[in-house]
Amino acid sequence: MSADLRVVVCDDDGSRVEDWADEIGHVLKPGGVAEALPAQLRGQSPLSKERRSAGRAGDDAASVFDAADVLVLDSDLTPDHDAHVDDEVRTHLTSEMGGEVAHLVRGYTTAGAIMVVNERTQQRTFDLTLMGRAMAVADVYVSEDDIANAHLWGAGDAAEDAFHPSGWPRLDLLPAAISSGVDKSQLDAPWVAVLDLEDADWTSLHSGQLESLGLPEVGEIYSMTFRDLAAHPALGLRRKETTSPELLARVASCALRRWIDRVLLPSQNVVVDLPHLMQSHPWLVDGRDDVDAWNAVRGRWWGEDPPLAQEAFHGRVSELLGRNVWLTSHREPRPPGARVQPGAPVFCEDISQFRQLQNVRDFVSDVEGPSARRFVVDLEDVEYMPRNRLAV
Amino acid sequence: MTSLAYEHEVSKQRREVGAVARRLERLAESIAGTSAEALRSEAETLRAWSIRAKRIRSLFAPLLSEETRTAVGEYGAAKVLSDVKRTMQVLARGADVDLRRVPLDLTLPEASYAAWMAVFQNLLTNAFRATLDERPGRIAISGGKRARSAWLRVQNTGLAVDLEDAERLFLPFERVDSATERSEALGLGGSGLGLTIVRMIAQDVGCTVRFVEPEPGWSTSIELEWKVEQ
Repeated sequence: MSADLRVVVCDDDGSRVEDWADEIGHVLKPGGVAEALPAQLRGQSPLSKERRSAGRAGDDAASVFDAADVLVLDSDLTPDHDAHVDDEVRTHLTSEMGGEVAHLVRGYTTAGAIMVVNERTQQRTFDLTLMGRAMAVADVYVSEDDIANAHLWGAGDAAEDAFHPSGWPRLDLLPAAISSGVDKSQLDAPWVAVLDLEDADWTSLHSGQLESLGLPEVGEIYSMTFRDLAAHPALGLRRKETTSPELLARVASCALRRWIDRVLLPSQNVVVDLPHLMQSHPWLVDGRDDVDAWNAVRGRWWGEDPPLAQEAFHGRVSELLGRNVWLTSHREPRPPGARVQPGAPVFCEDISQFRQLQNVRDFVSDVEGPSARRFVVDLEDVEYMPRNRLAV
Repeated sequence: MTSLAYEHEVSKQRREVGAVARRLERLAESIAGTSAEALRSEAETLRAWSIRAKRIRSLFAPLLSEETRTAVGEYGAAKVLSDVKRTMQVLARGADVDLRRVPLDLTLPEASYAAWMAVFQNLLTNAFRATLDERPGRIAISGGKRARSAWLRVQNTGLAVDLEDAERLFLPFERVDSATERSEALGLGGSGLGLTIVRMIAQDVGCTVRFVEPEPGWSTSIELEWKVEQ
């Protein structure tokens, strides 16, 4: 999938879509192609009423979205006041937001990953809450500065100390992860069972994690179906919106993927990712006194061999997320005498690298539980918001 | 609200400039000779402009977050000052701001981050203005604790302030006349409201602010002092 990645860039501004497509094209792997939305489709409603009422992919204007492995949407589709567009187009697009288009695309097309550009901020920004997009529909939100960030596209020549938020997905892996989701026959099945997560430590869920699913009791998570996820008001379709079973399964799968990745995983209480597993269990790292040894451990992404704690590795969820995760409930007990040393390297969330503690700044995120305290290197060309969290 | 709209539009214009620079660079790749070099040079100029616009924007960027504007907390003096120093670099004109004598464990009185940014941005702007004729201007911030109080002092090697007359400078529109015209031309303010704002915020959070006798080697010193529990 990643070798033949097809990226479609959408914006009202013709020269900008060409620019963005060109930039992204430079970082794609061989075989990948980035193309601008065809000129005749710019300024049109991205999804016709017919497509929405039919609720299935078809041979219409929106088929360009169906074929996209990654869809790149500008957040503000309103034409500039001095742009040369006709009145009808201007009326239609004024205040049209990429986020809303992303919702429609997710519900009514077979598009793969969705990237929204320049929403809320047009500067390269790191969210110190780590939860600012927890329930948002797109798979990644970036400023224009990062549309061609090599880390985001899995390009091999990415600089290690460059901006690379730990929450970013790998867009070259995500379309396959989305396709690996459920099919329509599983819509009424409990997702915990389908994902083989019945013996995960759900009792450690924090209240906010549970509430985000709209569940009053932790026991109800075992009976929550994919259809329930697709009907979740924030994660899935809205009231009165309907779509075909095939697309509904896709909506549910994407909703689950985003919930696990953005709400469950950050607390590291039920599933844990590689960097935070290393940080909480440093005795698993060979040569733990050397920060380079920490950064040399590979296996963060789905498809790469999990380098440690095989007994707790969870392949099905890793495949769904596109990143490797482990079950906290399956980790081996701490060996006698093993402990986290105060001077151990810490994982920096803004560059996805380990650094020595004296070279970083700490902050308290909105992540629930003991994993709230995190670290960044505080890059000069990045805005950290809310900035006050780095000053406590 | 207005500042958010302003930020949105300015950012949009900045990205347009960036796009033009990219197009010029791409054009330069397709041709050769002096024309290509000229295009690259123009693209570089546009990029430099864009970077400078971004740095100027960083002066008020903290105001864009509601939490930063309103969340009251006990912030670390060294961390806040380090942030202010960084955002003010675009106005520093080569003046060095030495923060080495700010204790890492010194905590500011409870206030919002934006309030402290306003205090220190104004104090540093004054210091930059005072050291315009110095080559290079030197500014240092130090801090510490006394028996029942803590303090921060901003000192510079520029124009001296007459302590007998210093209290007047906290009144609205009062200013040290000699630096005003030039500093205004250089974008370093000089309206006479900076110290008024500093005192207003300082008093609001239980701080006193006043000019004090500078340490040897410095010409002006302004001090913030606040009570601390023993």
